[in-house]
Amino acid sequence: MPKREGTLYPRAVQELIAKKSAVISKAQTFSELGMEDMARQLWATAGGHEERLAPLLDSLGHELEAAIHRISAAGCYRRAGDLTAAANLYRGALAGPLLAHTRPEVERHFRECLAELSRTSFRSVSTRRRQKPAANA
Amino acid sequence: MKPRVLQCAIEDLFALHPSFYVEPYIVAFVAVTGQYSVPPASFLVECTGVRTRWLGKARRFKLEVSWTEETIDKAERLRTTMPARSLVEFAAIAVALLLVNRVVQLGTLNVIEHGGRADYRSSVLQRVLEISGTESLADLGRRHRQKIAQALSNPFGWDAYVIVCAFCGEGHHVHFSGHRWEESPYAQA
Repeated sequence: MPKREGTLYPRAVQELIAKKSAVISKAQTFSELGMEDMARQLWATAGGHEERLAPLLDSLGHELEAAIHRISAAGCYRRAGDLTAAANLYRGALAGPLLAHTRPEVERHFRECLAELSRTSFRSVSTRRRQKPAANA
Repeated sequence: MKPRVLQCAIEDLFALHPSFYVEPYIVAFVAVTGQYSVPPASFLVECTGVRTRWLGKARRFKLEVSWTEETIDKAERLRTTMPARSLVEFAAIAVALLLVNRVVQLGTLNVIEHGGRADYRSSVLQRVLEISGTESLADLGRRHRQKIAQALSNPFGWDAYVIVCAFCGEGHHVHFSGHRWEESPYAQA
């Protein structure tokens, strides 16, 4: 991929960065305005863009940036309510070359995300289990 | 020596950042600044560690920002829907987007979601940008120091620009500073 003069990245990467930055800033605005339904869709779209960016950066040798885009993707998916995707991406980011002060922060986000995932997934299972005998009775 | 003056309309941001969703920042800027000033609003920008051809040897300049009637109408509506704290943060982003385009060239800003907050970084230089706003002039110095520390804890290990704006009746002020990653305690680690 040819790199544009005066930029850190080739054109295709640059364009994807611009596109997802616009989506993230829009999602942030809708969240601030309390328009959570619209914001969630935008966070999911932004998460998808970040997820695509990360391996492109890996392929260019920008491994640290790739890991940080995975963190951003995880954050976007978390805000979209897709905790499974978020947890996978935090795990992926932790496998990358993070700076020493960033790693504990990401580990904390990962733990919080797993706890949230466990709460939402297993609570609904236990609720169904509790409701089942009542329905049969 | 009289400081240089940079004059612009806040609506210029549409053209300066075509790939960015700038409208809420523009409207928030008018919602906040319009409480204290009539257009053009004047900002005293104090720079440290910012070396550009435009600035030369100057360490301060005046930023004069105007806006349109149409934006005033939108600002009135936004004031009723957005929390005051968010309005001030968005207004500061508008000022920062003007400055990074006119004073330093950071190219298309790359926004990432990082622990519930947005982080900005350049796509042409290895620089991150930290932005914040306040409505208290007395708080400006403390907030600026806090943001320098935050910027220098960036996950890239890159140098940083920090822009903190105070919107207030005593006169709007901006602290615009540049910092080397080597200043960071994390760089010594």
